[in-house]
Amino acid sequence: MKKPFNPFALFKKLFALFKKPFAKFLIKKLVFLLVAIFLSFTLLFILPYFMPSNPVDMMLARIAARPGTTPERLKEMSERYTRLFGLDKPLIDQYGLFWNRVLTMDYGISIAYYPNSIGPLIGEALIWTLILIIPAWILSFIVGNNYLGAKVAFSKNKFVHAFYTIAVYLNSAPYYWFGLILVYALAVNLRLFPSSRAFSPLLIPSLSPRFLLDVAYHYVLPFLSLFITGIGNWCTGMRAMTIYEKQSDYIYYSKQLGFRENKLRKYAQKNAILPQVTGLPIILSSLIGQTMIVEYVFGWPGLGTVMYQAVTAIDYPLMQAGFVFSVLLVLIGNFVMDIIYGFIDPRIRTGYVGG
Amino acid sequence: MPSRMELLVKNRKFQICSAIVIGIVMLGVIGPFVTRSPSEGVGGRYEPPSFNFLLGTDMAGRDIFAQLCVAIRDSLWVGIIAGFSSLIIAILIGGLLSYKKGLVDEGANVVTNIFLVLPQLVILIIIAALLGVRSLEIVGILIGLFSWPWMARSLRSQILSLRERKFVDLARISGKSDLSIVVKEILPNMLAYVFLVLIIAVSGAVVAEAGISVIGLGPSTGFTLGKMLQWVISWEAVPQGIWWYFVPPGLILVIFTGTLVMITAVIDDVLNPKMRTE
Repeated sequence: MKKPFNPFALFKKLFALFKKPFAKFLIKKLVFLLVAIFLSFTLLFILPYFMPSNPVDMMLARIAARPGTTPERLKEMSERYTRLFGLDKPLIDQYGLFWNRVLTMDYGISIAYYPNSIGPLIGEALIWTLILIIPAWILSFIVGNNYLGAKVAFSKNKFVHAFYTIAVYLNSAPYYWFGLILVYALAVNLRLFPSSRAFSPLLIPSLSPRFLLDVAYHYVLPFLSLFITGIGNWCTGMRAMTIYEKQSDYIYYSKQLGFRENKLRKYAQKNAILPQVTGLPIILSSLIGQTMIVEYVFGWPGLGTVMYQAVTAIDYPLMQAGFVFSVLLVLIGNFVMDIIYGFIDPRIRTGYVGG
Repeated sequence: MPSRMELLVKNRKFQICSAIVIGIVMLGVIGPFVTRSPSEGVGGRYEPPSFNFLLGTDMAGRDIFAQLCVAIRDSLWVGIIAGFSSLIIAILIGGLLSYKKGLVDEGANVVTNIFLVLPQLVILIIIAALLGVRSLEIVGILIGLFSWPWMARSLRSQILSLRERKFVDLARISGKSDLSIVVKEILPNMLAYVFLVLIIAVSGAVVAEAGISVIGLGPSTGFTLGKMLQWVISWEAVPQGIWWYFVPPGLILVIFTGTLVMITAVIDDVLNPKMRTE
C-alpha cells in the first residue's frame, strides 16, 4: 500500500539533508567551484605575459594594416586598449581591472563584430551553445548507458554488438568530421536538412512558432553530430561496469529465482550507472571544445563561432569573454552534477564517504 | 597455464587491431618516401580516385594520397610529442606528489581536478592565437601541457595502491630518496599500465591537434590531418561533393584512434579475469 502524500514529511526530509554530512559536502563542492574559477581566470590573465607578443600590440598591428586606417584612428584605438587593460598602470591594477571586467561583464566594443558591444553578444552566443550542448550531453549519456552499454553486456544479439562497435569507433571520430559526413549525406545529396546557420537568413529571431520551427529544422544536423558521436563515451565503461555487476551474488540469486534477462539487466544497470555519473563533468569539458568546432563548421552562432571570429580578428577582449563564459559553463555544469550526484548516492547523503 | 602476454598475442581481436594500427603508422613512415610530392599540382582539378591517383586530386591538382601520407606522419609526430610531454607532467604531479602523503598530495589532487574540468581546447585556442609561429613540436608540447590531468589521476590511483607494498617499504627503510623510489621501484611495476595510458594520450593528442588545426590555429609548419580538414572546409569540398577529399583524413583519424581504444579494451578483457566472458 502506498503511503499518503505528506508535505510536512517531505519538508522534514529535505531539511535533514542539509544537516551535517550533506552540508559539508555542499560547502566542499562550493569551495572547489570558487577556487577553480579563481585559478582558471587567473591563468587567463597571466597567459599573455608568457607569450612572445602581447595581444594589444597584435591587435594594433592588425588594425594598422587594414586599408583606410588613419593615424588618428590608430591612436584612438591604442588609447582605448591602454585604458581597457590598464597598460599604463602597475601589474596589480591590471589584475584588478581584469576582475572588474569579468565581474561586470563589460568588455567594451568588439572589433570582430564592430560596433556591437561584447557583453550582450557573448550572452546571446551562450544561449545558442546551451541549446546545442545540454541535450547532446544528457541524451548521449542516457542512450550510451541504458540502451547500449548495459544491453551489450547482457545481450548476445549480433545487432546490439554491431551498434556497440560502431558507437565506440564513432566516438573517436572528430565530432565535426562526422558532421561533415552528415552534411554530405543528408544536406548535399538528399537535401533533407540545411547544411549551415541556425535559422534562415531572412528571419528575425523571435519566439514565434515559425522561427522556432525553422531553428529546429537547422538544429537537426549539428545536434546529431554531437549526440551520435557522444554515445560511445559511455558504452565501454558501462559495459565493463555491468559485466562486473553481472557476476555479483544478487544477480546470481535473481537468476536462480527465474527472473527474465530484462529484469536482471535493470537491476545491474541501476548499480552500474552510479560511477558513470561522475564522468559527466569531464565529458562536458571535452564536449564544449567539440561543440565549438561543430558550431564553426555549421555556422551555428554559438560561442565557437564567436571565438573563431575573435581569433581571426585578434579581438582579445572577445577572446577573454569567450574563455570566461565557456569555462563558467563547464564549471557550473560540473558543480550542478556534483550536487545531483550527492542526492542520488545515498553514501554521500548520509556522510558514509567524504565525496 | 599460458602467460598473460601469450594470451594477448593469441587473441584474434588483438591481432587484427594491432595490424590496423601498424598499417596506418607504416603509411605515415614509409608513405612520404614512395609517393609523389604532396605540394605540386600533378593532375587536373578535383580528379576522382583512379589507378594513377589513389585518392584523386584536390582543387590545385595535388595528389591527395601523398598529402594523406605526409599528414599521418606529422600528426603522429605531434601526438607522440604531446603524449610524452603529458606523461612526464603526469608522472611528476600524479606520481611524485601523490607519493608524498598529506598536504602535498591533497594540493596536487585539487590542481589535477581543476585542470581536469577546464576545457582544454578553449585554452589551446587562446594560446595558439597569441603565438604567431607554431612548429609541430610546439603544438605537441602545448597539447601535452593541457592533457595530463586524467593521466595524473589514473597514475595516482595506481601509485596509491603500490605505495603500501612491502618492496616499497624496504626501499624506504634502506634510505632511498622519494624520487628514486618512484622512478626505480614503483614505475617499473606499472610499466604496462603506463604504456596503456600513453597509447590513449597519443591518440587523444592526434584528435586534439586536428581540432585546433581545423579552425586554423594548428602548426604553421608541417601538414597534419587537421590541416587537411581545414583545407577541406575552407575550399568547400563538402557542398561540392568531393568525397575523396573530406572522407580520408577523418576516416584515418577514426580508424586509428578507434582501434587504439579497442586495443586497450581487449587488453583489459584479456588481462582481467573478471572480464573474460567466455
